[in-house]
Amino acid sequence: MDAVSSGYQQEPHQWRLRSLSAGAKMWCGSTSGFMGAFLFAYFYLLALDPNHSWKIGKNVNPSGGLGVAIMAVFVLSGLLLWLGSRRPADEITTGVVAIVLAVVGIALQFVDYGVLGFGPYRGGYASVFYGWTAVFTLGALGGIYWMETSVAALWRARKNGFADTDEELLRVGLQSCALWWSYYVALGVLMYVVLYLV
Amino acid sequence: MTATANRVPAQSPARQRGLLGFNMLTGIILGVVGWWVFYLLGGLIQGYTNHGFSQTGQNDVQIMLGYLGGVIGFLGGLGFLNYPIQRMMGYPPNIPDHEVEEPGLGKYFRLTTDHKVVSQQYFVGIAFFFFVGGLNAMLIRTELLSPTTHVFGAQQYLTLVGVHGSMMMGMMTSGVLGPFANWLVPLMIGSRRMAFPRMESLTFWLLMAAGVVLITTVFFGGFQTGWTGYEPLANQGTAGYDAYLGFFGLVSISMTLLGLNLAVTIATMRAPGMTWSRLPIFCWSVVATAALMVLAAPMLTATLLMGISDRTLYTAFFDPGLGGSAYLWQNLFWVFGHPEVYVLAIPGFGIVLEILPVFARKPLWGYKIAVSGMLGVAIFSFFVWQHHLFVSGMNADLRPFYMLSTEIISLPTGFTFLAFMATLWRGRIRLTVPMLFCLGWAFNFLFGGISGVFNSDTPSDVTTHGSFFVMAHFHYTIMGGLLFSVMAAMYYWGPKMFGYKLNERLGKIHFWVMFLAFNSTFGPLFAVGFLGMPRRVVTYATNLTGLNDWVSVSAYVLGLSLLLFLFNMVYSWMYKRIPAEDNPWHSRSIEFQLPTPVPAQDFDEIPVFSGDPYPYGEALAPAGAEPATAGAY
Amino acid sequence: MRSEPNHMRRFVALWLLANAIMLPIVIFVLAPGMPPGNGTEQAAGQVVDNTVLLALSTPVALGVLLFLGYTIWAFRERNLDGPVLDGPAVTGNSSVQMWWLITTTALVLFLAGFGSVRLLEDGSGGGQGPSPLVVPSGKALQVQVIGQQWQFTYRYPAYGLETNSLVLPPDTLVEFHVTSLDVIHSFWAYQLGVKADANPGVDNIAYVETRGPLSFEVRCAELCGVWHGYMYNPGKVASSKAAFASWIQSQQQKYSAASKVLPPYSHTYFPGPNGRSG
Repeated sequence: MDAVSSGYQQEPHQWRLRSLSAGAKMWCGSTSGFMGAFLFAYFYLLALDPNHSWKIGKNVNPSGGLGVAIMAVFVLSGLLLWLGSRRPADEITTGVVAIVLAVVGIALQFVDYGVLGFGPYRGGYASVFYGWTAVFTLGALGGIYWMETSVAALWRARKNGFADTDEELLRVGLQSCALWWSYYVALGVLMYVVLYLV
Repeated sequence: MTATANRVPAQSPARQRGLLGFNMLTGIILGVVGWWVFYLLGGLIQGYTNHGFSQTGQNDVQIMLGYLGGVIGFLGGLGFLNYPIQRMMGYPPNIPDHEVEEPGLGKYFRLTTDHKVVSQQYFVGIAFFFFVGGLNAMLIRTELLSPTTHVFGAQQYLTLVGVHGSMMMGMMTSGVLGPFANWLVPLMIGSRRMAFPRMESLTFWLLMAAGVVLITTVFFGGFQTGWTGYEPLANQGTAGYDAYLGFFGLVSISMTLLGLNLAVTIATMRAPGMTWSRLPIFCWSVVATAALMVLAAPMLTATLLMGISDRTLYTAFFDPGLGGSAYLWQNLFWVFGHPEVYVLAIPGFGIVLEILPVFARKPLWGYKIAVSGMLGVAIFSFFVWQHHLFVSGMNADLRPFYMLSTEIISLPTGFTFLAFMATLWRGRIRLTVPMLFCLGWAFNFLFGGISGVFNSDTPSDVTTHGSFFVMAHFHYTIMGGLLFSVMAAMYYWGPKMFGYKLNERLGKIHFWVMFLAFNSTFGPLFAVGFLGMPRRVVTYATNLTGLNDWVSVSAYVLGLSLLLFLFNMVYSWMYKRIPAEDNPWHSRSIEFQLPTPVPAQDFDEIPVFSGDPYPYGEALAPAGAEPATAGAY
Repeated sequence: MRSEPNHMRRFVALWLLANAIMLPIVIFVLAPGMPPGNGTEQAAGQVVDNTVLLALSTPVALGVLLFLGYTIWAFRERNLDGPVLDGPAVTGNSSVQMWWLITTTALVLFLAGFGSVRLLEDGSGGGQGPSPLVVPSGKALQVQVIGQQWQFTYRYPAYGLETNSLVLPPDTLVEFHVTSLDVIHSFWAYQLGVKADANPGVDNIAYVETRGPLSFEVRCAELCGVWHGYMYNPGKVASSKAAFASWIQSQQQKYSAASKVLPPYSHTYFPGPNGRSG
C-alpha cells in the first residue's frame, strides 16, 4: 500500500481467517433459505394437490438407481474435500478428486434429464423435480468454482514454497469451502431423498 | 498484531484498470454487447424447442438470456470478471482490500474497495433510483386526480404502480445499509474496511444493474402485477414482467451479499475493546437487518427462479391447472416479504437511537432493551407472513395464531419507542435539523404502528385488507419511518461524509414542509381506505374525488420538499460552501473524532475502545474538560 | 435548576385530561362512522372491532404524542449558541422497563384474544377457505362467486341460476363460495363486510348474515390485470324474501337458454390453458 503513511498499522491476522470461516457459515444459512423454498414448494404442492395434478399421466417417476448414483457421487466429493482440507499433505489431491466427482455428478444429472421420459409440465412433482435439481446443479457449478479457486491458490502457493503468501489463510479458505460444500451436499442428500425416495 | 500479517501479498495498485479502462463506460458498452449476444443466442434456442416455451406466447427465454448477458457484460466491463479468472489460476487478488483512492472523479465510476467511495456510489445510485420511483409516485397521483378523466390509462397506470412499488421495496432495502452502513460500520467498529471488500463493490453494481433492468420494462409493455408479482396473473404478463423477475433476482442477490458482508464484518472485525455490549446501536440495527437479508433474501431468489422457470422451461409451480398453486407464490413471496419490510424499518430504529443521545445530551436509555427490541423484531418477522393472507382462504384455521404473532411483534417495536422516549426525558434537547427528523420519525412510526394493529386484527382486516388503508399504513412505517430517519442521518452524518455544511435554515424549512406534506398525503389515505377504495385501481367511486385530489396535491408538495433537500445539497455544496467542522454536533462517537474529510485510510492505528458507547451526561462530562469519547483510542 | 416541578406528575395529569376529552369524542362521535357500517351481522361486528381498537389506541397515541410534546417543551435547550451541556447520565431503569413490558404485553394479549374471540364468533365475513372453521348456525343460502378477468358472475345452485348481478334475501345466512377461473381476484362487498380472495382452483367460503334491505358495492380487491379498477358491480339485499323470490324467477326466465349450456355446478373450475369459460 504505497499511498499509506508509514505509521500504518496492519490489521490483526485473525480478522481475515475468522471472516472467511464466519462468511462460509453464513453462506450455509443463505443456502438453506434458498433450498428451503424448494422443499416448501414440494410439500406444499404435494399436500394441496391442485386439480389432482401432482403427477399428470403415468411414469412421472425418475430412475431411483440414477438418483442414488448422483447422490453417492456428491456425497463422496463432499466427504473427500472435508477430510482432505484437514490434512495439508493431501489437500490438493483430494481437492482435485472432489472437483472431478462434482463434475461427474453434474454430468450424471444431465444423463438423468435425458432418460427421464417426462417433461416439467407434467404436474407439481415434475415442476419441483426439474426446478430443484436444476438449481442444485447450478449451485454445484458455483461450488466447483469455489473448490477450484481454493485448490488452485494452494497449488500455486505450494509451487512457490509459500513465499509471499499467507499459508494459513489459504488453508482456512479451503476449509471454509469444504464446510460449505459438505453442507451443500447434505442439502443435496435431503433433496434426492425427497425427490427420489419419498 | 502478529508477524504473519506482514506476509499478506504485496498489493500493487490496480494496474490492469489503466490498460483496459475497466469502468462504468466499458461496463455499459459490454453490457449492451452482452445483451445482444445472449439475446440472439436465445433466439436460436427458441428455434429448436419452440413447443416448450409457448405458455406465455412469447420468447421469454430470449429476453431472460438477454438480461443475463447484459448483466454479465456490465460486470465484466467493470472488471468484476478479472478477479475470478485470476483466482481460478491460483493468483492472489490484485485489487487490494482497502484501496487508497487518488483524488478525482474516476474512482466513483468503477470497482473500488474503499468503503467510503462505495458508500458515496451508493448515495448517488440510490438517490437516482429513488428519484425515479418518486417520480412514478407523482404520476400515479396525477392519474388519480380524477376517476373519469385519465392521463395514462389502465395499462400504463399499472406499470407506474408496479415500477414505483418495486423500486421502493426492492432497491431501497439497501437504502441505509448501502450508503450509511458501508461508510459507518468500518469506522464505528474500527475495522477500516469490510470483510469482503470486492463483494461490497459487487453489491452496488449489481443493484445498479437491477435498477436499469427494471426500467427496461417500459420497452416491453410494462407489467401489471404491482411489486408483489402475484401468480398466475404474472404468467399472463408480457415480456415486461421478465424485467420484474430479473430486477428482483438481482436485488435479492445484492441484498444477500450486502447482508452477509456486513454481518461478517461486525462479527469478526471489531477492533480491540469493541465488545458486543459496546457496539453502537446503529451497528446492532445493521446486524439485525443483515441477518434478515442473509436468511430471507435467498428465498426470494428461489421463488423468482421458480417464476422464471414457469415462463421459460414450462414448469408449473404456479399454474393451478397443472398441479401448481397460486398460494405457493403468495406464501414464498411473503415468507421473504415480511422480513423484507423490517429490512426497511430496522435501520431506521438504529439511526434515530444513534442520533438521539447526541441531541438529548444523555446516554442511550435502555441500551439492552433497544438491542433486544431490534433482534426481537428480526426474529419474529419470520413468523407473521400469513397476515398478508387473512382473507385468501389459505390456512384459515391459523388466523388466530398469525394475529397473535403479528401483535406480539409490536412488543419489541415498543422497546424502541421506550428507549426513544426515555432518552428524551430530562435531557437537554437540542432541536437541530437531525433531531427534528428523529422526532418526525417517532410521530410517523407511531401512527404506522397503530394502524398496523387494525390490519393485524382479522375482523378489522376483512375491510382494510387490500384497501388504501393498508397502503397508508405501510407508507407511514416505511416512508414516514425509513425516509425520515434517512433524512436525519443525511443532516447528521452528511457534513462528515461530504465535507461541507448543509444550510440549517433550508434544512428546517425542508423538515416542516416534508413533515406536514407527508401527513397531509398519507393521513387522508387512511380515510380513503376506510371508505372502501381498493389499492392499485385506476378509477374509483366519484364521492372520493375530493379526498383523492387533496392527497394528490399534498403528494406534489411532498415531492417538492424532496427537491428542496436536493437544492440544499447542491446550494450548500456549490454556492455557499462552508467546510464542515470535525465535530459539528459535539458527538462523542468515534467517526466525529476523526478529521473532516475522513482520511483515506480512516485511522493509521487500529483504535482501542473502552467504556460506554454513549458517554453523555453530567457525571461523565466534567465542566471545562474535553469530554470523554467512545472511541478513546 | 434543582427546584424543578414534578414533570412526571404533570405529564400524567395532562395525559388523563387529554383522554377525558378525546375518549368520549372517539367513542361517541367517531366510532359510529367506523367502516363498514351496520348493514349485516358481520359488518356490524367489524364496526365493534374497529371501535374497540380505536378506543384502545387513543390513550396509547395520546401518551406518546403528549410525552414527545411535553419533553420538547420542558427539556428543550433554549440557548443553542451557548455551551453544550449534558443531561443526567441515566442509562436505564429496570422497573420502568418491567412495567412497560407488562403493560404492552397485557395490551397485546388482550388484543389478540379479543380479535380471536370476535373472529371465532361469526367468521367476520372473511374468506375461510374450503373447510371453514366458523360456521354460523342456521340454514344457509349458497351463492357461488366466480371471478374472471374482469367481472364477477354469481351462481345460485339451489335455483340452477347463473347471473351477473348479486341480490340476496334479507335476514338470511348466506354462504359465499368464492373461486376464480383465471387469476387471483378478491370478492369485496364493502357494506356486507365480506372479503374473500378468489383463487383459481380454490373454493373460498365466507359467511354473511344479512339484516334489512341494503344496497352494496362489490369491488375486486386484488390486482387482477389491466381492468382491475373497473371490476365492480352494485348489489343489493332485497326488501323482502318474496321480492328475492320474484327476482330469482325473473332471472331464471332471462337466462333460461344460457342455463342449459352451463358447465355442471362445481366448487372449482379448471378451464383450459388461457381459456375463459364458465
